[in-house]
Amino acid sequence: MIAQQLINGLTLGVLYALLALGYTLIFGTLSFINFAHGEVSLLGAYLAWFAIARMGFAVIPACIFGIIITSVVGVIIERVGYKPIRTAPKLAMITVSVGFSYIVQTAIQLIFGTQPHEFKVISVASWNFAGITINSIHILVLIVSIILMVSLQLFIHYTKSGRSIRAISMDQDTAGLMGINVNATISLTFAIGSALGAVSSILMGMYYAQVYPMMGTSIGNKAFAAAVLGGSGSIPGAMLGGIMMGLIESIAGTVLNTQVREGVAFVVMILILIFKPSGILGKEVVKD
Amino acid sequence: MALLEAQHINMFFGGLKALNDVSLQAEEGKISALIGPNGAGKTTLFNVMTGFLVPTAGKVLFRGEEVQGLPAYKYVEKGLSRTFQNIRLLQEMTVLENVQLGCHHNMKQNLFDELFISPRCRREENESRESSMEALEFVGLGDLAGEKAKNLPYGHQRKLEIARTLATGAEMLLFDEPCAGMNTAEKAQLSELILDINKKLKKTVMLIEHDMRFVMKLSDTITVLAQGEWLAAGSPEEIQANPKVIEAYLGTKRKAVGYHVGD
Repeated sequence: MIAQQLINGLTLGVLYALLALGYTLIFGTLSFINFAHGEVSLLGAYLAWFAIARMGFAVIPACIFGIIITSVVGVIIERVGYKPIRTAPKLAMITVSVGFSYIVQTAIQLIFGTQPHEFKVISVASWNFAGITINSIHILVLIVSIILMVSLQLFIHYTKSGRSIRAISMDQDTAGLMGINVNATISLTFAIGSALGAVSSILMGMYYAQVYPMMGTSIGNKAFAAAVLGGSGSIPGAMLGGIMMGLIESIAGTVLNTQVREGVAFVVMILILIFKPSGILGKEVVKD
Repeated sequence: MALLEAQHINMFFGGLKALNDVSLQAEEGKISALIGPNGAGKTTLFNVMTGFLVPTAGKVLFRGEEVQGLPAYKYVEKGLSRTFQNIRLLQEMTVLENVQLGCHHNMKQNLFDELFISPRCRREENESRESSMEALEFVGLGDLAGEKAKNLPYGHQRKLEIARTLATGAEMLLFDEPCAGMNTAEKAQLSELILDINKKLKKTVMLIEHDMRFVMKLSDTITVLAQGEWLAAGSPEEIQANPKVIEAYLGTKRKAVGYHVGD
């Protein structure tokens, strides 16, 4: 039982982690929580569903289509909504992001309808090992997520763009004076964050075999909590936080009962933050 | 010919006139200095000339082309790079990474090169590492490349900033108080380094410095500012003999100990 929940929890956890990476990347570069990230990411799943169900795309092209458009939408929202108020108090940006979360959610309902859509896009095979059921979606989610997380770490540390992202997250002005195009780098951060979010929502749609308009908010909130739990701005922190949220949720669902599973995950988050407010891997930074 | 030129710069902050109709020229291949008592507007002028501030009025010309108002990163592309009075390094990055940032504007790779680790991506990354190491070795920090910037002692951090300007490939380097906080031996070493940068690497240098011995030894030409206004310009000998300059310094000498004109 527990072993089964570990598999389920880990699968859910890496999906939260992928989404949490978007929150943490954007927090790292602009120091604000982008509350629209969950909804924007959900666009990825809806677009993939739409491409398959209504436009007759094959699965992989449909997913790529969803990821690219979501990425573009993320960048456009940054340019239109956040860039003009980048130097304003952070509360303004946070509020604008809450606004965008409702706008995107409403747009999803208008365009794709308020009813859940079935999202069964791959044939699911499952295997039994000593009472543990593993299906092809577990495997797909784990492989894709792990590849993306490792690639992101390599990208951030060993490429020019990655170095630029780290530089502007430390000191935008200095990075600019060193010849780094700050606006382009921020756009890139939004593009990467939104693309990872889109992948997460597509895989989440496959995992639950459906997409529904409130999905962005519900998984977005957990991923946001995971990012803070792991340490805002820390990439390994977001990964760790996401996986912890998924595991706690699944195990609490079995050991206690399914009604309290989400509550327990947040109780653990609050307890950790009380003892380590900067998050598990967050730096103890006192901002002036 | 003047490589960098400021023409009739006004820089007002609200009612404060930080710079009032200031002009200066930096000749190609020379070392020029900007001096003046505290609050004269030297750093403000540096900020205007490197894109950190947009002047209220006036023009900044680089190779005869107007550059004021461009975003800061464009100045590096044009060939202008600087260091800071209060050191600005990316503290959590390694020494090498800090220098590599200076190379970024020369790297043509795009996101797809990076995602698919294309040959161009690998080549440029290697080139940037090599040229960054060269710059580090030039300033004498070659063996500290892997260290985090925040772990370097103060004098080394100043040199690291200089290495970063070298790695940009810029032909004009502006150093804002490069030897602030250094002892006599370190200053002597630094003045050798700046002379090497000028003579061996053929860079045009402009610097702000309070240490008059340092300025007089290095500079080909000196511009003096006082209270936001242009006061004088000329060779070190001319400046030392200029009564207006002496007066400006003597007038503030009691408040700001440590200025020795012609010392």
